Amino acid sequence: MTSDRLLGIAFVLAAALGEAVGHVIFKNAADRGHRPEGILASLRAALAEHGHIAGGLAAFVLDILFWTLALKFLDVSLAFPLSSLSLIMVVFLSRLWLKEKISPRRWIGVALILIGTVFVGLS
Amino acid sequence: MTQLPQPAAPLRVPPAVILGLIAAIVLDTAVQMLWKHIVLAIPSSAGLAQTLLAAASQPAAWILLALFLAQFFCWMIVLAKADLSFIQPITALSFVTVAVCSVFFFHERLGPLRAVGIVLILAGVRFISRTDHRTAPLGGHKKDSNGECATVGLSDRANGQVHKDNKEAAP
Repeated sequence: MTSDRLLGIAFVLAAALGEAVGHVIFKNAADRGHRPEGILASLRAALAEHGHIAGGLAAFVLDILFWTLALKFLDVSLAFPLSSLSLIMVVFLSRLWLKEKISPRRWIGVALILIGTVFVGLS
Repeated sequence: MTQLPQPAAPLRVPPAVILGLIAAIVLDTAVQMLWKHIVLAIPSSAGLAQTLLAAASQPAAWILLALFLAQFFCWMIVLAKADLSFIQPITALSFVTVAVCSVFFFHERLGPLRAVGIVLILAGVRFISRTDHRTAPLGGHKKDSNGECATVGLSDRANGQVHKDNKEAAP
Protein backbone atom coordinates (compact mmCIF):
# COMPACT_ATOMS: atom_id res chain seq x y z
CA MET A 1 0.00 0.00 0.00
CA THR A 2 1.54 3.32 -1.08
CA SER A 3 1.86 6.31 1.25
CA ASP A 4 -0.38 8.27 -1.15
CA ARG A 5 -3.15 5.77 -0.57
CA LEU A 6 -2.72 5.85 3.22
CA LEU A 7 -2.83 9.67 3.16
CA GLY A 8 -5.95 9.54 0.98
CA ILE A 9 -7.64 7.08 3.37
CA ALA A 10 -6.76 9.32 6.34
CA PHE A 11 -8.49 12.23 4.56
CA VAL A 12 -11.53 10.02 3.87
CA LEU A 13 -11.77 9.16 7.59
CA ALA A 14 -11.53 12.85 8.56
CA ALA A 15 -14.20 13.77 6.00
CA ALA A 16 -16.46 10.89 7.13
CA LEU A 17 -16.29 12.07 10.74
CA GLY A 18 -17.18 15.63 9.70
CA GLU A 19 -20.10 14.31 7.65
CA ALA A 20 -21.41 12.07 10.46
CA VAL A 21 -21.29 14.85 13.03
CA GLY A 22 -22.96 17.26 10.59
CA HIS A 23 -25.81 14.84 9.85
CA VAL A 24 -26.55 14.20 13.51
CA ILE A 25 -26.52 17.94 14.28
CA PHE A 26 -28.99 18.58 11.42
CA LYS A 27 -31.24 15.73 12.57
CA ASN A 28 -31.28 17.30 16.01
CA ALA A 29 -32.33 20.64 14.48
CA ALA A 30 -35.02 19.00 12.31
CA ASP A 31 -36.48 17.17 15.34
CA ARG A 32 -36.77 20.40 17.29
CA GLY A 33 -38.36 22.07 14.30
CA HIS A 34 -40.81 19.23 13.56
CA ARG A 35 -44.30 20.59 12.83
CA PRO A 36 -47.28 18.41 11.90
CA GLU A 37 -48.76 21.12 9.62
CA GLY A 38 -46.34 20.69 6.75
CA ILE A 39 -42.92 20.54 5.18
CA LEU A 40 -42.41 24.32 4.83
CA ALA A 41 -43.38 24.98 8.45
CA SER A 42 -40.98 22.23 9.56
CA LEU A 43 -38.18 23.70 7.45
CA ARG A 44 -38.75 27.23 8.82
CA ALA A 45 -38.76 25.98 12.40
CA ALA A 46 -35.63 23.88 11.84
CA LEU A 47 -33.79 26.86 10.31
CA ALA A 48 -34.69 28.85 13.43
CA GLU A 49 -32.25 26.61 15.32
CA HIS A 50 -29.29 28.91 14.54
CA GLY A 51 -26.77 27.20 16.78
CA HIS A 52 -27.41 23.77 15.31
CA ILE A 53 -27.33 25.02 11.73
CA ALA A 54 -24.00 26.84 12.29
CA GLY A 55 -22.44 23.78 13.95
CA GLY A 56 -23.73 21.47 11.21
CA LEU A 57 -22.43 23.75 8.46
CA ALA A 58 -18.99 23.97 10.12
CA ALA A 59 -18.81 20.16 10.22
CA PHE A 60 -19.75 19.98 6.51
CA VAL A 61 -17.14 22.61 5.55
CA LEU A 62 -14.47 20.39 7.16
CA ASP A 63 -16.01 17.45 5.28
CA ILE A 64 -15.67 19.36 1.98
CA LEU A 65 -12.01 20.33 2.54
CA PHE A 66 -10.94 16.81 3.58
CA TRP A 67 -12.93 15.15 0.78
CA THR A 68 -11.30 17.37 -1.88
CA LEU A 69 -7.89 16.20 -0.60
CA ALA A 70 -9.07 12.57 -0.46
CA LEU A 71 -10.06 12.74 -4.15
CA LYS A 72 -6.58 14.11 -4.97
CA PHE A 73 -5.04 10.79 -3.85
CA LEU A 74 -7.78 8.21 -4.49
CA ASP A 75 -10.15 6.95 -7.21
CA VAL A 76 -13.70 8.07 -6.50
CA SER A 77 -14.77 4.40 -6.81
CA LEU A 78 -12.41 3.66 -3.88
CA ALA A 79 -12.96 6.78 -1.76
CA PHE A 80 -16.77 6.88 -1.98
CA PRO A 81 -17.47 3.34 -0.65
CA LEU A 82 -14.98 4.06 2.17
CA SER A 83 -17.10 7.06 3.13
CA SER A 84 -19.70 4.48 4.29
CA LEU A 85 -17.67 4.48 7.51
CA SER A 86 -19.62 7.66 8.26
CA LEU A 87 -22.76 5.44 8.41
CA ILE A 88 -21.17 3.46 11.25
CA MET A 89 -20.21 6.71 12.97
CA VAL A 90 -23.82 7.92 12.50
CA VAL A 91 -25.21 4.72 14.09
CA PHE A 92 -23.02 5.26 17.16
CA LEU A 93 -23.78 9.00 17.32
CA SER A 94 -27.57 8.50 16.91
CA ARG A 95 -27.46 5.93 19.71
CA LEU A 96 -25.43 8.11 22.07
CA TRP A 97 -26.78 11.54 21.22
CA LEU A 98 -30.25 11.27 19.65
CA LYS A 99 -31.12 8.24 21.86
CA GLU A 100 -32.43 6.29 18.85
CA LYS A 101 -32.75 2.55 19.45
CA ILE A 102 -30.24 0.39 17.54
CA SER A 103 -31.50 -3.15 16.94
CA PRO A 104 -29.22 -6.25 16.86
CA ARG A 105 -29.95 -6.43 13.11
CA ARG A 106 -28.38 -2.99 12.67
CA TRP A 107 -25.26 -4.05 14.56
CA ILE A 108 -24.87 -6.94 12.07
CA GLY A 109 -25.12 -4.31 9.31
CA VAL A 110 -22.42 -2.27 10.98
CA ALA A 111 -20.12 -5.34 11.01
CA LEU A 112 -20.80 -6.08 7.31
CA ILE A 113 -20.04 -2.48 6.31
CA LEU A 114 -16.84 -2.60 8.31
CA ILE A 115 -15.68 -5.77 6.48
CA GLY A 116 -16.75 -4.26 3.14
CA THR A 117 -14.72 -1.11 3.67
CA VAL A 118 -11.65 -3.21 4.54
CA PHE A 119 -12.08 -5.06 1.18
CA VAL A 120 -12.44 -1.76 -0.70
CA GLY A 121 -9.49 -0.22 1.15
CA LEU A 122 -7.28 -3.14 0.12
CA SER A 123 -8.48 -3.14 -3.53
CA MET B 1 -65.63 -19.18 11.59
CA THR B 2 -63.17 -17.61 13.99
CA GLN B 3 -61.25 -14.58 12.89
CA LEU B 4 -57.51 -14.69 13.26
CA PRO B 5 -56.09 -11.51 14.82
CA GLN B 6 -54.90 -9.24 12.05
CA PRO B 7 -51.24 -8.24 12.22
CA ALA B 8 -50.75 -4.53 12.76
CA ALA B 9 -50.25 -2.66 9.49
CA PRO B 10 -46.59 -1.61 9.05
CA LEU B 11 -45.92 2.13 9.21
CA ARG B 12 -46.17 3.57 5.71
CA VAL B 13 -43.26 5.64 4.47
CA PRO B 14 -44.65 9.02 3.29
CA PRO B 15 -44.29 9.79 -0.46
CA ALA B 16 -42.31 12.94 0.40
CA VAL B 17 -39.69 10.73 2.07
CA ILE B 18 -39.49 8.35 -0.92
CA LEU B 19 -39.12 11.25 -3.40
CA GLY B 20 -36.54 12.88 -1.15
CA LEU B 21 -34.51 9.65 -0.99
CA ILE B 22 -34.46 9.30 -4.80
CA ALA B 23 -33.42 12.95 -5.17
CA ALA B 24 -30.69 12.40 -2.57
CA ILE B 25 -29.17 9.45 -4.49
CA VAL B 26 -29.19 11.34 -7.81
CA LEU B 27 -27.65 14.41 -6.16
CA ASP B 28 -25.00 12.31 -4.37
CA THR B 29 -23.89 10.77 -7.67
CA ALA B 30 -23.80 14.09 -9.54
CA VAL B 31 -21.81 15.69 -6.71
CA GLN B 32 -19.16 12.94 -6.69
CA MET B 33 -18.73 12.98 -10.49
CA LEU B 34 -18.38 16.78 -10.63
CA TRP B 35 -16.05 16.82 -7.59
CA LYS B 36 -13.67 14.24 -9.07
CA HIS B 37 -13.80 16.14 -12.37
CA ILE B 38 -12.75 19.34 -10.57
CA VAL B 39 -9.86 17.66 -8.69
CA LEU B 40 -8.62 15.85 -11.83
CA ALA B 41 -8.20 19.24 -13.54
CA ILE B 42 -5.60 20.23 -10.91
CA PRO B 43 -1.99 19.06 -11.49
CA SER B 44 -1.12 16.23 -9.08
CA SER B 45 2.13 18.06 -8.27
CA ALA B 46 0.12 20.80 -6.48
CA GLY B 47 0.41 20.92 -2.67
CA LEU B 48 -2.55 20.44 -0.30
CA ALA B 49 -3.37 24.15 0.17
CA GLN B 50 -2.76 24.82 -3.53
CA THR B 51 -5.14 22.01 -4.42
CA LEU B 52 -7.92 23.43 -2.22
CA LEU B 53 -7.48 26.94 -3.67
CA ALA B 54 -7.34 25.68 -7.25
CA ALA B 55 -10.50 23.61 -6.69
CA ALA B 56 -12.39 26.56 -5.17
CA SER B 57 -11.40 28.92 -8.02
CA GLN B 58 -12.84 26.73 -10.76
CA PRO B 59 -16.19 27.84 -12.24
CA ALA B 60 -17.47 24.26 -11.75
CA ALA B 61 -17.07 24.79 -7.99
CA TRP B 62 -20.14 27.10 -8.15
CA ILE B 63 -22.20 24.31 -9.69
CA LEU B 64 -20.94 22.01 -6.93
CA LEU B 65 -22.03 24.61 -4.36
CA ALA B 66 -25.51 24.77 -5.94
CA LEU B 67 -25.74 20.96 -5.75
CA PHE B 68 -24.72 21.13 -2.05
CA LEU B 69 -27.57 23.58 -1.38
CA ALA B 70 -30.01 21.25 -3.17
CA GLN B 71 -28.67 18.36 -1.05
CA PHE B 72 -29.03 20.46 2.12
CA PHE B 73 -32.70 21.31 1.54
CA CYS B 74 -33.41 17.75 0.43
CA TRP B 75 -31.89 16.50 3.71
CA MET B 76 -33.71 19.01 5.92
CA ILE B 77 -37.08 18.06 4.41
CA VAL B 78 -36.50 14.29 4.68
CA LEU B 79 -34.92 14.49 8.14
CA ALA B 80 -37.99 16.32 9.46
CA LYS B 81 -40.09 13.31 8.38
CA ALA B 82 -38.01 10.26 9.24
CA ASP B 83 -35.27 8.85 11.47
CA LEU B 84 -31.66 9.52 10.50
CA SER B 85 -30.74 5.86 11.01
CA PHE B 86 -33.46 4.90 8.50
CA ILE B 87 -32.70 7.47 5.77
CA GLN B 88 -28.93 7.40 5.79
CA PRO B 89 -28.46 3.69 4.92
CA ILE B 90 -30.94 3.91 2.01
CA THR B 91 -29.14 6.80 0.36
CA ALA B 92 -26.01 4.61 0.55
CA LEU B 93 -27.35 2.92 -2.61
CA SER B 94 -25.45 5.73 -4.32
CA PHE B 95 -22.30 3.61 -3.74
CA VAL B 96 -23.43 1.54 -6.73
CA THR B 97 -24.37 4.49 -8.94
CA VAL B 98 -21.10 6.32 -8.14
CA ALA B 99 -18.96 3.21 -8.84
CA VAL B 100 -20.70 2.57 -12.19
CA CYS B 101 -20.46 6.23 -13.21
CA SER B 102 -16.76 6.44 -12.22
CA VAL B 103 -16.00 3.55 -14.61
CA PHE B 104 -18.03 5.28 -17.33
CA PHE B 105 -16.70 8.84 -16.90
CA PHE B 106 -13.18 8.37 -15.52
CA HIS B 107 -12.34 4.84 -16.72
CA GLU B 108 -11.59 3.76 -13.16
CA ARG B 109 -10.99 0.02 -12.73
CA LEU B 110 -13.51 -1.84 -10.66
CA GLY B 111 -11.58 -4.95 -9.60
CA PRO B 112 -13.19 -8.01 -7.93
CA LEU B 113 -12.00 -7.02 -4.41
CA ARG B 114 -13.52 -3.53 -4.72
CA ALA B 115 -16.77 -4.92 -6.20
CA VAL B 116 -17.09 -7.53 -3.42
CA GLY B 117 -16.40 -4.82 -0.83
CA ILE B 118 -19.18 -2.65 -2.25
CA VAL B 119 -21.58 -5.65 -2.25
CA LEU B 120 -20.70 -6.33 1.43
CA ILE B 121 -21.34 -2.67 2.24
CA LEU B 122 -24.72 -2.90 0.48
CA ALA B 123 -25.56 -6.07 2.42
CA GLY B 124 -24.71 -4.17 5.60
CA VAL B 125 -26.89 -1.30 4.42
CA ARG B 126 -29.79 -3.73 3.85
CA PHE B 127 -29.48 -5.03 7.40
CA ILE B 128 -29.25 -1.53 8.84
CA SER B 129 -32.17 -0.09 6.89
CA ARG B 130 -34.84 -2.73 7.60
CA THR B 131 -36.69 -0.90 10.35
CA ASP B 132 -39.68 1.42 10.51
CA HIS B 133 -39.01 4.90 9.22
CA ARG B 134 -39.68 6.45 12.61
CA THR B 135 -39.00 5.00 16.04
CA ALA B 136 -40.00 6.30 19.47
CA PRO B 137 -37.15 7.83 21.48
CA LEU B 138 -35.69 5.56 24.17
CA GLY B 139 -37.97 5.59 27.23
CA GLY B 140 -40.45 7.69 25.25
CA HIS B 141 -43.60 5.86 26.44
CA LYS B 142 -45.20 6.84 29.72
CA LYS B 143 -48.41 5.73 31.42
CA ASP B 144 -50.86 8.53 32.19
CA SER B 145 -53.27 8.58 35.12
CA ASN B 146 -55.87 6.52 33.19
CA GLY B 147 -53.32 3.80 32.64
CA GLU B 148 -53.22 4.56 28.90
CA CYS B 149 -49.91 4.68 27.15
CA ALA B 150 -49.04 8.16 25.92
CA THR B 151 -46.19 8.74 23.52
CA VAL B 152 -44.03 11.68 24.42
CA GLY B 153 -42.85 11.98 20.86
CA LEU B 154 -41.57 14.67 18.59
CA SER B 155 -44.99 15.98 17.55
CA ASP B 156 -46.07 16.35 21.18
CA ARG B 157 -42.99 18.33 22.05
CA ALA B 158 -43.30 20.53 18.98
CA ASN B 159 -47.03 21.13 19.53
CA GLY B 160 -46.57 22.11 23.12
CA GLN B 161 -49.63 19.91 23.68
CA VAL B 162 -48.02 17.61 26.18
CA HIS B 163 -50.47 15.80 28.47
CA LYS B 164 -50.68 17.27 31.97
CA ASP B 165 -49.22 14.11 33.53
CA ASN B 166 -46.26 14.33 31.18
CA LYS B 167 -45.31 17.91 31.98
CA GLU B 168 -41.83 16.92 33.05
CA ALA B 169 -41.13 15.81 29.50
CA ALA B 170 -41.88 19.25 28.03
CA PRO B 171 -38.88 21.44 27.10
